[in-house]
Amino acid sequence: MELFSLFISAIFINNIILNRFLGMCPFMGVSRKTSSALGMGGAVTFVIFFSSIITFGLYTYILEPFNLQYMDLITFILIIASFVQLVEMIIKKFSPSLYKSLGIFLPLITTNCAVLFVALENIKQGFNFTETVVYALAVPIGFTLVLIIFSSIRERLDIADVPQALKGNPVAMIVAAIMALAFSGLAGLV
Amino acid sequence: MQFVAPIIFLGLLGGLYASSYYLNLKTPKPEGCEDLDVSCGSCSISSCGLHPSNKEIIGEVKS
Amino acid sequence: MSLFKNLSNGIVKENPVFALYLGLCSVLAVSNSINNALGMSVAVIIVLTVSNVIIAAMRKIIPNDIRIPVYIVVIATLVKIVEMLMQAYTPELFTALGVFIPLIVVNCIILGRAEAYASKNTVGASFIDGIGMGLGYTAGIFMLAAIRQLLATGGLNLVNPFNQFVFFDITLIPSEFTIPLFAQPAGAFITFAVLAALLEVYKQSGSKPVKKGA
Repeated sequence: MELFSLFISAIFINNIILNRFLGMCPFMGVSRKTSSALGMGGAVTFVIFFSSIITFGLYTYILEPFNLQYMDLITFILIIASFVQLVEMIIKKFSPSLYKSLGIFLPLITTNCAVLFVALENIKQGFNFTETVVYALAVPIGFTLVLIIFSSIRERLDIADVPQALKGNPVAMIVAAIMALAFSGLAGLV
Repeated sequence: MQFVAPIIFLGLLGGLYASSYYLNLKTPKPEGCEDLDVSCGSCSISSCGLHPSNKEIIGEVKS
Repeated sequence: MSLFKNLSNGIVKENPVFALYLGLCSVLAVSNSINNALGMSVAVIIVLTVSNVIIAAMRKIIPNDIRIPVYIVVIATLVKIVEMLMQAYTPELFTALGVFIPLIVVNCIILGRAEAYASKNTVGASFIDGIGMGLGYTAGIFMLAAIRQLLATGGLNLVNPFNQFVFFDITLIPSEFTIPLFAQPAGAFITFAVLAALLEVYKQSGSKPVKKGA
């Protein structure tokens, strides 16, 4: 049951975009069309899930036994970046259609705050392997959910009559504020 | 002695990243490349591989 | 003169927070009090300036193909050093900022400036650019934090992070009139939107006299 509440709270209550403000950079840039939002969400889910498992394994079996815990930041960012490059290379070689829908977002995910955050948080909260897997799956699902809702709102916002100064990103921020208010109403869920 | 292990580890990881980055750069995209608009215009992350300012650098590496 | 222009460019016209929308993750999350905001911005200025200097000094030696991996290694090492120093000398600030100090590594500003400026300019110019962009970041996050803290708690306070000596602690708005919304994520988004719109208005009003003169 604890795993279930971890899952739900990571998606709805401590939503990575609306509550923890992470993953904002692509949120502003890649959320204009719903199809690209889905592609971005899929790519982020894939990267966060597998890179969290790899970094957790690396921390538990190499960094901790050798007393190199202070290398965690450098190790994680380099592993995440290498993983993204390898995955992009594999997708380019084996599946052009997958590359068209997911692969083009991969370079953008390397410097996404959310990926590094999940890797660091798994260590900081002292999760075991099952909890790491659940958390690493729940966080990007929350990210994708918000991204899809946001992109469908933004599609309509682009053709609406917005004041000149607010056009583009400021009005998107106001939409994010309203969504954050809506999601904070779910706080009593677990 | 306790300085050598982290530096070797760092060198290994850095080498892993640099080599995977280089191999990825050399792998050609399948047809349908240059399709990469993705409404990237408003994003100012100039270190991203898809940013327009990086196109000529990737072009000169390939040739 | 051009050095000063470079500096002021990073603060107003190309303010990394409100004009370029870079580094938003840390700006929105750390701006709940001016204490945290100033601590965070000092860390960002240090990392930005030192990384700009190192990368500008090495720009002729780094092979063009693998420059991004090299930048990331340099920045990650610097951030880890700054984080360990903060953990040792300013422990309360370290706990308050939490996970956002390691996340300076993926702060779009630092990697973006290394790529766009430090790899092509001299050490001196990169140093000034780092300071300019860092001051722009500071101005942005400080304004956001001041407004949020003032409206949410009614007062401002500043504490020396090294020995917890209180510089000032003033209450401007009585507690019945404070708006706790601004301590929450929604308030952060709204304040940011208003400030970004104000900067846009300022930028557009600055270009109008040119049209009138012609």
